[in-house]
Amino acid sequence: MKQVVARVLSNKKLSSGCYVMWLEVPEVALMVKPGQFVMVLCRGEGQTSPLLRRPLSVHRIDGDRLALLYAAVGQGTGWLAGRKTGGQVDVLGPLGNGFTIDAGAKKLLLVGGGAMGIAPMIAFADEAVDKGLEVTVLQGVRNADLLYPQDELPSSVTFEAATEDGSVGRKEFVTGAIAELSPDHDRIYACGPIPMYQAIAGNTLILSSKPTQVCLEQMMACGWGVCYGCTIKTQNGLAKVCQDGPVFDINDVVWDSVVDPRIGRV
Amino acid sequence: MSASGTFGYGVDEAQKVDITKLGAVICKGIFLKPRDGNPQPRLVETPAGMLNSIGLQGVGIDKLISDYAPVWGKWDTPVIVNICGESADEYTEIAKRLDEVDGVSGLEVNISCPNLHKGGMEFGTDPQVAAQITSNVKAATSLPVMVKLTPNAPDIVSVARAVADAGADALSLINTIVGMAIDVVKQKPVLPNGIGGLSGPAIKPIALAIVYKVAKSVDIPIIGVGGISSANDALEFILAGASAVQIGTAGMINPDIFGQIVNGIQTYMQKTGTADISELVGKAGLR
Repeated sequence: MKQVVARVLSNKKLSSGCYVMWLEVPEVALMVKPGQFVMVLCRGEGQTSPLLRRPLSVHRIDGDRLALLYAAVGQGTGWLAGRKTGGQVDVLGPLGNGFTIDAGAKKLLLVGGGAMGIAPMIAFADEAVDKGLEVTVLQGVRNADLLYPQDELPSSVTFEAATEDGSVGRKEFVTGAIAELSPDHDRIYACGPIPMYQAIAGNTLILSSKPTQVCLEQMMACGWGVCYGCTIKTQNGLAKVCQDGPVFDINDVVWDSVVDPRIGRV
Repeated sequence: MSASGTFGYGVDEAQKVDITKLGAVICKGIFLKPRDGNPQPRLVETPAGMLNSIGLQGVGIDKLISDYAPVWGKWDTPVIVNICGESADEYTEIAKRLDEVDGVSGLEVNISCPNLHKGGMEFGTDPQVAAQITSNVKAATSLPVMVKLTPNAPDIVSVARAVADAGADALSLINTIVGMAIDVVKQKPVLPNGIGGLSGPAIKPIALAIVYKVAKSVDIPIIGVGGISSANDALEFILAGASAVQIGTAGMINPDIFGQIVNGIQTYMQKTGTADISELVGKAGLR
């Protein structure tokens, strides 16, 4: 783990409305693995709000550079969206444990729930393709506008979309699409909102057959194991999402102990 | 010093942060038995601050003594153990267990945590109860004892005086301030206990005023804590009467900050021709 001031190489809005920020940050990029994350300070020097760093999955890795995918939805990510090429961003990482691929895995189903759930899956698709594995990326979103641009994916990846309004791909919730696609795959990896995981975890059709890893988010103040804010229950006892995760086997998580971290506001 | 509950037990943390810049590591609050702590959600971000409701998740005294203290014993940086209790007797029992444990250099008595149903803050709001726990702990140990007080007491100066008179070697001021956040969609408090403990820059002026006030009322050293995020903040506490400071929330966000604050204080001392930091302690006080 290093606390580093990274240089912004680019910061662009995608068609999905999310931003991709490329950072030159060798101290982190050369060590980081897909599924790990960084804590990003989203305020200028001398400012006190937002106080806490924002946990962001590593979206792509390229040598001494890495990319972050984020939605400019609040004060912190709004500040991040305002960073220009050549600017500086304070980054803490790499943090947590990434996805693991066991020796028996051949056909992977990578699931991104929502516009942001896709974030760690692109770096992971890059890695899996490099290892010669067959990869399907499934993204579930409300409508076609929120889809990740498919020309950014490695060419050998099969892309599947599920939209709630049927504007593109399958007209269904992502959980239904997972159930349909899982028979053709031997491992499932998912990132998305907590209710999506709880729906998958409750679907015994998926769970009975396929090892599934999920990338969790809980509210965290530090990201490196000291605040104990992100503690959840697992079959192996208490676990810190930041340090013991964020990637967990779906069957290890006691889902009642996990909450949707979003706070309702007007 | 690292503030209790913001630096774990220091062992994993020492792999990630240079602890040689720290005057002491104060470990996470410990009870006799392991504790799960509170359910999620445990944190809410607030303007210039955060609310926590961790509930003192912890490993219990046996594991602390068997797994962590031997590592601490090898360090040059001293470790102060923050001790907690659901009853007055539990503090005494823990103090006895830690006496003469290699690697433990002092105790910080936590009578100020706002996130417990039993114990914690309720012992720190009444001067008599606080004094009783202090004298019990002092009698049970040969280690230096500092007592961490809550700003949620109706009269913190009376508590501070009572604890000092009961033999405390130092005071740490302040623990978090009771606060709340409500989810307007669910129409319920965000945190499961309703309330949590507010920390961060938002509480710094409050902590500073308390240190200033208590420093004029007691003769034992005060360790200032509450929202300190820079060398300037630390110097304010020292000038108000603190002999040392603890960094909590700011260190969780910026693990490199400990060294930065130490360097900043040294630079200030050079600029102001201060030979010894003790010259600055309480200098802003209008005695």
